[in-house]
Amino acid sequence: MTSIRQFTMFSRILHWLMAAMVLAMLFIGAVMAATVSRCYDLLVSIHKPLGVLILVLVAIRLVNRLMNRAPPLPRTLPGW
Amino acid sequence: LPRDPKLSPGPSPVTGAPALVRLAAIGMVMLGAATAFAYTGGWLSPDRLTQGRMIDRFEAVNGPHPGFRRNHAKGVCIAGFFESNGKAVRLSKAAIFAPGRVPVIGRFALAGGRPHAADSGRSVRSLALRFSLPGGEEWRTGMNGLPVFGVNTPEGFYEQSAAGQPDPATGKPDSAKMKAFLDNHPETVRAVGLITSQVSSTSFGNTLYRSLDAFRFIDAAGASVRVRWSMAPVQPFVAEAAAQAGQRDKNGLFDDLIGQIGDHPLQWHLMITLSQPEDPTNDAMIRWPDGREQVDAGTLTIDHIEGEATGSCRDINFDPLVLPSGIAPSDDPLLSARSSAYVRSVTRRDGEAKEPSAVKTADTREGEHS
Repeated sequence: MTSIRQFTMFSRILHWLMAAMVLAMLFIGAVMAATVSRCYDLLVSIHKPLGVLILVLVAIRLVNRLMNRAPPLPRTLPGW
Repeated sequence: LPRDPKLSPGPSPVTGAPALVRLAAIGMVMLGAATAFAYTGGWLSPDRLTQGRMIDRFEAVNGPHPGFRRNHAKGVCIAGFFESNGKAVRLSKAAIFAPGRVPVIGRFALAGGRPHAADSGRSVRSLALRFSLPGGEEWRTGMNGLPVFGVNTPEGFYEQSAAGQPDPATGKPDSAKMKAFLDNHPETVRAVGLITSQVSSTSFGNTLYRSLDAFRFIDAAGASVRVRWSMAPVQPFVAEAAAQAGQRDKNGLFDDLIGQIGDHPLQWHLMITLSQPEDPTNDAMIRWPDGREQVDAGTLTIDHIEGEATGSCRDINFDPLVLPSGIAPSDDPLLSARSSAYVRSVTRRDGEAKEPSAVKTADTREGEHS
């Protein structure tokens, strides 16, 4: 059996794409829940589809993880 | 995960000063992100007008009334249907304008955040509606019996309500504060002039309700037209005598309405007013000139009235941005302001125990005796 050295390119793209999307959601959400200005309508209309898209990507991520094994953790990482 | 000491490539552990430097760098990034987040949420800017501060202002002006809407607090639930005549299909592809009938739930209310205030001729009457369209779409609209709004921005509204806030010492608004506000806002003086010169009608049933804010109608080909709408009463207009306005029973307006609907259904025509290029859509204080083309899109029939305790309107947020495909917001800043502030009001009142409404319909009166 060959060893797995790193995550697949697809996994890495998925990971960083979702990281950016989740961060964007947090910031859009914070403004959306505070502002009374005209950007409220725009932000709500981004927040909803973006949230649904993240949910879809989570599903893809789960399937991807089941189909592609992850590389072992680095030796220096403590048990906790 | 399994660890494989032979195969794991990983670098050797970082210790001592280099580890501290790296930890500090990570800490800085985290701190920066947290600060940016707090800033965007408004927690670092006490002067920025937020949804929470807007609703706080209502609570300060009107006193705490848990469970009630923070504005238009005193109201009653209604239901009926809208029958489209098909004439507005050329303006908007919204399903509601196809000929036919859709169910409507709504609410008549008085502007202001005091749920037990006495009805008076001076109170601004409002009609809020939720049309349930085929296919699960909804159209919600909150209309007022006013010719124009008295402000055109959320900031203006916030300042105006501060100026009108009763002084705790006298129990009355400080006239110097209101004068200072009006001196700074000549446009409000004009709008208030229009509002006070409007002759009030005798009841909810013969009042004309206007969207005040502008919207866009989008037709099947994608062309858009800027509009405002209103509900024009079929019930004939009867001017309220000045003496009558002040001498009303505490719930006179509502009792009147309950009696009327118990007797026969009330009807309004949905009138769509089309703008000309020079008519502003971002300023709800400015009336569009009389004589603009109007399209009668159909008839609203209200045949049922019920108290808020059992009626289904109490928990509906009549958010002006809940629009079906074919109706879109304009650049009016009050639309986002209303939508976002309503959400905050809903969030607060949803978590509060409900008290009985001051408005008593037959069903709620029976409930009290059982």
